[in-house]
Amino acid sequence: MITDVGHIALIISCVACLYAVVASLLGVRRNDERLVQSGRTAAMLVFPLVLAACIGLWYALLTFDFSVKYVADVSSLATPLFFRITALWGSQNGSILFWNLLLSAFIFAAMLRSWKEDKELLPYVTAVVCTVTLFFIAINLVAANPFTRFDFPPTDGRGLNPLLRHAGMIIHPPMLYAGYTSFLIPFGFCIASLAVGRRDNLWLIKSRRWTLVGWAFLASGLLLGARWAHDVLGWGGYWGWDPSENMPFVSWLFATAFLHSAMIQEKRGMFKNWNVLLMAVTFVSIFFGTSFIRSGLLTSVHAFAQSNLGPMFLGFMVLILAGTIILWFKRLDTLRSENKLDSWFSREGIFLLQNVLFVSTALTIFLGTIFPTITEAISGVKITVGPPFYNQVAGPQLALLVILMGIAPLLAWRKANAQAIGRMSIIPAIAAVLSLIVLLVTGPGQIIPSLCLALCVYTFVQTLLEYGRGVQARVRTAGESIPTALWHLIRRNQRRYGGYLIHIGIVLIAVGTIGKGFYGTDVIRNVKLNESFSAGRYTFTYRGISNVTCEFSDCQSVQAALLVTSASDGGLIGAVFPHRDSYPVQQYTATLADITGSFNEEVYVILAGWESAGTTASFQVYVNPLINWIWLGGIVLIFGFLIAFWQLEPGTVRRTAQLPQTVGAPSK
Amino acid sequence: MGIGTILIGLALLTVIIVLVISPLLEPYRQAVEPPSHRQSLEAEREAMVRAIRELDLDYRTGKLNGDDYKTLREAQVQRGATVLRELDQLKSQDDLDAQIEERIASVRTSKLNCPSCGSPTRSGDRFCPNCGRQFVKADEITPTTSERR
Repeated sequence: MITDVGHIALIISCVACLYAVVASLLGVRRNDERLVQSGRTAAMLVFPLVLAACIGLWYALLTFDFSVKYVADVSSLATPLFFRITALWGSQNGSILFWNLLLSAFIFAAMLRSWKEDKELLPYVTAVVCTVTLFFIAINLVAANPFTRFDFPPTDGRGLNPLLRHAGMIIHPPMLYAGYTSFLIPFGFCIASLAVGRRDNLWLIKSRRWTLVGWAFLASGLLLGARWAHDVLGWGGYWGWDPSENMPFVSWLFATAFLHSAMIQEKRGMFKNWNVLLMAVTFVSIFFGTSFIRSGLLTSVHAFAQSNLGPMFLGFMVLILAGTIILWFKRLDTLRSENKLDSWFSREGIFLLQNVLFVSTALTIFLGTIFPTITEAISGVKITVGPPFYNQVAGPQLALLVILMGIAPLLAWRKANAQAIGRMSIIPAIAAVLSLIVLLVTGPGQIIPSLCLALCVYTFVQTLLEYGRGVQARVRTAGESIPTALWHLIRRNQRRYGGYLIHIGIVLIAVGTIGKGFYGTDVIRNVKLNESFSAGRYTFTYRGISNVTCEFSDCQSVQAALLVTSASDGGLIGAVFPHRDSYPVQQYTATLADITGSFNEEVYVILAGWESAGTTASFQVYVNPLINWIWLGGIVLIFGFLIAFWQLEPGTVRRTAQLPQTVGAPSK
Repeated sequence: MGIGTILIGLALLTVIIVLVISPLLEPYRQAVEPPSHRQSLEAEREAMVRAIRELDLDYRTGKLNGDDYKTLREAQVQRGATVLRELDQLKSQDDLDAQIEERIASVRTSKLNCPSCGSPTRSGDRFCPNCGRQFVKADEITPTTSERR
């Protein structure tokens, strides 16, 4: 019964969404606040209704109700409780329901806030966000219904896809979905501002927190996805330029470009047109990525999510795109810049250059991703571009972005001072040159990765010095101690210094990427029992295989044991136990690595196969230098986001700040 | 689907309908008020404060030389002063509007006394209900010469 009530709640939520759209637009047309408020209430009620639908499905999953097709598809009597909970987003139909839960939760939060200051945007924001949600709920009811029942229920289910039985799956999909769905709110503000015809930056200011949240969720989702792929897919890597990685990365690049150019609009009243387009492109790219991956038009590791939803998604996306372009075109006169670019040699100038790079990188990756679909549509032959294409085309652009991260903070708004930049670049440049020499002399001696790492050192040192200069200025002018000065500096400029911390996180991720990409090695060996082989600075001795108890009762696990010693002095480092888990029902075998080594050098060992009950076995060993810097960079990035986000309460500055009354320099 | 499920579904629908239509039962209010210039000005003031803070920081950390800094800061502060003036004007206009509305409301609700017999009368009465004295409406009073001036 509870499951059926959930189904009914989902149907009512669809009606509530439709009502919210109609009431809001009618409220504008009749100039009736009551209708607008009624629409707002309906929009808010969608969340508890979709939550009730989720509870209904969770109930079916927890009680092994295999009469529900979805439950039989994603769980079995052997599925542990934890994975029965996460199975809600374990396959297509449930994941769309979960998507709807997040969409409606964000709408609820957006509607709950006070709309006193931007009342005129409310009906349009409601109409936009509820139209999109209506589409997804309708899909859930018509084409991907998780509540469909069998006439003759099976006694047991198929069990959850083995790939999804990983701790990363607790948090990776929710993070990515949250990133995707939270962009609906700034998009709603953007369209509402266009519809009303406002000339100011109100939509940008009001949606800033949402954009930041969406950006951070996307970044976390991408990193957690990379970690999941690293741990579960048994390939030693973390990023394979798969469409399911590329599409959110493209959206993230557009969103990052938007976050930077939004600063220019806020500070200088410029790039209004560009910002509207960037927000629209970010949202449409999210929609496009989701629709392509879910529809099966792109072959990806997310094969579990494939279906025939493509035409519906694409049709709605075209509708969104066309509506946005028409509205944008009609409002071109309200989007004129208030100022001109005073000098290319300014922060605005470098932001513009960096925006071009972000967009061109995003478009490069996007074209590479959809290239197989295009060639198949034109010639009937699918031509795929592989990692070398992305590494050669997108790699240099990303490297340039890292350099710009080091230079941009040195430039002042409107007009930069070349002498000052030269002076401030001396220490970072010396650090970069020294690191280049050290890398070339003591490292493997490759020029390109050494240069790339030296550039990372430049940006890293420069960013740290930015903190130092700020602290020094406060110590000098306010006479504060260094910790107090640092605290006040960050507290008074949280967006700036939170942003710098994010830059440091990105540099660490870049270092990890360079380390793994250029210095990583892998070895495949077939060895007899007690035979040894070497990979990098390590020697492995094969000690045999054995059947072990699997974590899940529907799987059989075979584990190998290898001793790891130092190749140079023979000292014992430890032992590794890579294993292969077979799932007969799903006809799937998972190759799960065991990892050893140090923070700076990961050793990733997989059992590739065995013969004659383990008298011989094959192993693949990946030595991944610096790969852990990627995960460290991710943590720093999120910490930076928290600092930047922290104080961004609406009106904080307005309430507290007083405009300086005097003209002139503060005393030094 | 059992009868119990259908009843729960209907109850849910009823709750939703009641909540959604409750705003419609309130008296009519305008949805779209004339766009307020105040929001733009306040947003601009916020941006100005941030811009001046950044300029100060850029100067203190050596990214701007003294002359550039002075010129840029002066321009920002002057623009900020204009914004503040406009905001003050809006505020005094709003205060005046509020005072007028308050006065009208108090006149509408207040009870007046007849100037002849002192009996209480209500706003809008043309004659005193006690002594029958005729009242003159405010808009029928001809201004005196001094008032005209």
